[in-house]
Amino acid sequence: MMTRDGHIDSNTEDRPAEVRYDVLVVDDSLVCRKTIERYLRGDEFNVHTASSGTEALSVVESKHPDVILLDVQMPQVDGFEVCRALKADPATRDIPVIFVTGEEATKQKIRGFEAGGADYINKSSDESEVIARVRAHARIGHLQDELRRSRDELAAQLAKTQEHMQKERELAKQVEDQRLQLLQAEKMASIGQLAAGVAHEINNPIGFISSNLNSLQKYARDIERVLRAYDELRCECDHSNPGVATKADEVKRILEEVEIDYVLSDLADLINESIEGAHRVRQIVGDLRDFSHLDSPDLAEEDINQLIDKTINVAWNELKYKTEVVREYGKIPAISCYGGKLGQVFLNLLVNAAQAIEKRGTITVRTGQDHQHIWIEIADTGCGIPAQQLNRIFDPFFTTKEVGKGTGLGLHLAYTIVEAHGGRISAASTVGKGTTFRIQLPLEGAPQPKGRHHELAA
Amino acid sequence: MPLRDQPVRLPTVLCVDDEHHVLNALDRVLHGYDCRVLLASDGWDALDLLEQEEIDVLICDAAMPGMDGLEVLREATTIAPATVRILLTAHCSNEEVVIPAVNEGEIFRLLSKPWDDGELRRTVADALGLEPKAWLEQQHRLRERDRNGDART
Repeated sequence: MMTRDGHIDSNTEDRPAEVRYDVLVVDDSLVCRKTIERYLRGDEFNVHTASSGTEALSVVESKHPDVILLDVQMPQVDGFEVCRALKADPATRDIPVIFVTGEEATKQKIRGFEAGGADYINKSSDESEVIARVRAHARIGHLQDELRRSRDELAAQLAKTQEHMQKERELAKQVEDQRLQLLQAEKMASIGQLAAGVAHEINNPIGFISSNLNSLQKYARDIERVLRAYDELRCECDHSNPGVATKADEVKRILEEVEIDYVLSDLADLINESIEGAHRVRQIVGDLRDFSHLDSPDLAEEDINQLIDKTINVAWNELKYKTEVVREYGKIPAISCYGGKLGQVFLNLLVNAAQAIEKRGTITVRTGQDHQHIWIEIADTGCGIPAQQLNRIFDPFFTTKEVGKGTGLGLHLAYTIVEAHGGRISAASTVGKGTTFRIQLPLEGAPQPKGRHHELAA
Repeated sequence: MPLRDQPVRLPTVLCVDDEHHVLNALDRVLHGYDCRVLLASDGWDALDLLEQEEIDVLICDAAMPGMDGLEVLREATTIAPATVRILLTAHCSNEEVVIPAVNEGEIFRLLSKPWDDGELRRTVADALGLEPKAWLEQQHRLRERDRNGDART
């Protein structure tokens, strides 16, 4: 290491050899400028000089010194003013300013610090003190720069990390959303399978019950015919014969006791009602089976009115106690769709509609067609949805039902399914009056899945 | 000449189902129609009857414990190839039931449970190669004749 004026500078070892501090010396006195310049000569400092406050500001702008040695007393613009100007400018306010004073006046030193000065030296300070102070402030300035740089880097990294985390959170939410959709779909599929299995099991007994009721109806008619014939015989038998007369009277008594006319007429009603009941079971089971069979992943032509009827049958248990279901179906063409999935949409909307109705109300199902769409409206006279919630109802996990009652996925699933059909679902609601959901589906049907095209092309 | 005096062989229908109630109901549906009805409650009994008796129509359930209906139908194609085979099932899944029943059991018709009595009778008549209407009319004539015959005695 270089030595200067006989001083061995141990501190220079902390300083990388290539770094030279730029020092600006501002003094109106040439002698003073030269003295300090001389003190600071050597490889540690590049010394710039300015003879006035105004010049100083322009040199600062062009040279960006590491330290400024600033004379307090200068004509026109004095040191304090220069310092204040430097401190007011964000580009220069971090440059340490060391005031150079001609006297030991405490008042001036305090003014210097107030103006933003970092330190002061006396014009009579010796070389080593000047070097030591300049070096110390240059180094502090440098360290502060480094600190600032690493702070900025850290902040940038932090922002990046936060952005990353945000992205990951969104991704995780998407994955969770998809997982729950899948779960819901699986749940519906397994419910469908279960329903189909139960339907099959019911078909066996309902098969022989229906058939037996038909046989029973026939037998009952036969028995009635036989009875009528016997009764005629009873009336026409020989009452002069005491044995026959007693027997005939007993038959008459029994016929009256069992109220045979009532029995015979009721028997017919009873069987007819049972046949009708069995028929209804058949219908429900058939619909349930169709409903679960509709779950096939392929597109098929479906009559939407029929599909809604089947769905209403399946949901009937949820609907019948509280609601009157009014059907106002328009004439609409069959469209290519995923019937099972649309059935789920209708089921969700119907069950929601019933749940929105507190005591008794009406669910009106309308269908119709315009130029490019068929539309389906499911309107209830329930409690309605407040305006501030209406734009969130299709969001995943949004639910107003109590914990455990709703997953908040029903309407989201409906939205996803309708969208997959190239359609739209919307809701209009008035609190206290009810809610109307409207679905539009394109007349040309759901778009073909993309994977299938590839298969066909291959 | 009264039909009754002819030594006619009544067409024979074999019904196979693991559920007795179903068998009894089928028996009732065909009772009084011009055929003999045999019942079997499992596949082995059914195959025995197919070997022993001359059977015109086989009505067979699909899902049965032990030997299922498909196996019965398949066996029947070799044991009694002249027997017309009908599948009566509550399981109408294509892959598991219908396709093998058609391809391997070579069935004549498929009836689903719950069945319609009239359709079942018409299907049996079809299988017997009878005009269903003629069969039913003949049935009616037989009944009338029985009634008149009974009245005479």
